[in-house]
Amino acid sequence: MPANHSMGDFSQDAELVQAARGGDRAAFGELYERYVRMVHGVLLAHVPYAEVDDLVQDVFLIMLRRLDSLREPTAFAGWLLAIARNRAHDFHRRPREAAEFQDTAGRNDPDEQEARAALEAIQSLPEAYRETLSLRLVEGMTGPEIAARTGLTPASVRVNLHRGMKQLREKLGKSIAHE
Amino acid sequence: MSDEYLWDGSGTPDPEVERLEKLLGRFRPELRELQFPAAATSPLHTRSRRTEWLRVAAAVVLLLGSVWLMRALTGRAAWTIAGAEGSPRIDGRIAARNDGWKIGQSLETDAASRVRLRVDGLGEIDVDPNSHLTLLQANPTQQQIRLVRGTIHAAVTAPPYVFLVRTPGAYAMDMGCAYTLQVTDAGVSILRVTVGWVDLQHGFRQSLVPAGAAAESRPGIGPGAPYFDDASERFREALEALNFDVENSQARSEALTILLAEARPRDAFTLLNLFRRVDAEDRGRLYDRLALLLPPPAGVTRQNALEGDDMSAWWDKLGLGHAKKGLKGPPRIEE
Repeated sequence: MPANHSMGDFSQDAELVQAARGGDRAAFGELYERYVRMVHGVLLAHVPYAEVDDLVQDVFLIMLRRLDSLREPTAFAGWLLAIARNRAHDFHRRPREAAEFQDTAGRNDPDEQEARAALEAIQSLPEAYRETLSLRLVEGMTGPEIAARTGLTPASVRVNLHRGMKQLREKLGKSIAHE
Repeated sequence: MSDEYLWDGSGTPDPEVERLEKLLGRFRPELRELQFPAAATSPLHTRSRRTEWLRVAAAVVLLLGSVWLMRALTGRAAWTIAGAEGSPRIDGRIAARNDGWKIGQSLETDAASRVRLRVDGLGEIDVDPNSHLTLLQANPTQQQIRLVRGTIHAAVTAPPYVFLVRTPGAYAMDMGCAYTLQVTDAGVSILRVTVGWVDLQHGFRQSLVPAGAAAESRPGIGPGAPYFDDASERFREALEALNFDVENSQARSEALTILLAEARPRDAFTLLNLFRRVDAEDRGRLYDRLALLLPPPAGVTRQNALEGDDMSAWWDKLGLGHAKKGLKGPPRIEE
């Protein structure tokens, strides 16, 4: 079970935020490392895979610009999560960006095709489930890690994982039956 | 099947979950270039310490070498328009998203236009309406623009001193930060730093500006001493006279009187910057006021102040953290 994500508590985040505000590049780098998978997983739950890397960069640049406006450094994780969700929302509000998306990479690889189909199935799930499943199945975070990073209660994460997985199985079962 | 495996990877593995993990793991991110180097040095303290200088210089050479190699291999150092509103123009032609901006080209926005510029590995620059910029350098070790007029908002993730903005009054050299830089029609530049530090330089004048602080620079004079945005209006007016009324000693002396009276403990930062800017006969009262606001460290005396000695140890008492200086002395500025 991959679980490289550092658990660290919110007070550690607050210390890193204060240091990053003062120009400590190492602190900024550590915040990036701690949260890049969460941001990536949340974005991947909402936007096409080919766009995610650029949007991850966007999110961290927005974070850098606005770090001084974060009033409560211990709330960093939720604040960053909101930036990521807003950026995904903005992406869909801009039809030009969506229309430009053309991703044909790996279309001839059966595993790649299956992976993309599974990802699309996750993206079609209700909002509450898609982020949690993306973080669990794509990013390799555990349920407790997801709860710690997103601020959801462990019970909510557990329910989202259970129900989301149930719906995902149904969707994948249907898509296999249609082939 | 076990929900425990889905929850935290424990218990009997669910074959379908395992399979999905393996399939979907290919979409995991690779850590890219946003990591910052750690090179903490005090703004002034290190200048007098040869060993520290060598250590940091070696680290920076290594860092810049790595950055150069990375960019050389990936070939990414180009400026592109990441977003545009209205009708921004590059060399007179209307520019659109994904257009490139090349060395020597000017970029202008009118009253209804704004632009977001991006360089992979450097960061992003937002250009406000009524602005005019020229791209001077675009290579892995230095990205240099001239801000002729208008306002930019920079969010920079590149190593220190890779990104430089020339204004009529000073060079603004990024040290890993976010800031706003404005140049008025009269050529006065106003810098406001929100995250990290910016190094302003012109000739022998230098101001290191931390988050929450601002500094003005004027053509022919250079950067003035920086100040915190929440300083009183009278303090800022007096500082303007001290910074830029260079030929009127009487006015400068009167301005210092007002400034010292208005100074709060937080303004000790500005007062420390003034030791090299006030007339020699005013250093004594500057020292006296500063010592009340922020008692001097052992070894720093009034006599040191009067003789214009190094005040580095006092800087450390400000509690502002350390500027991330990558290079000591004037950094190499590519022409």
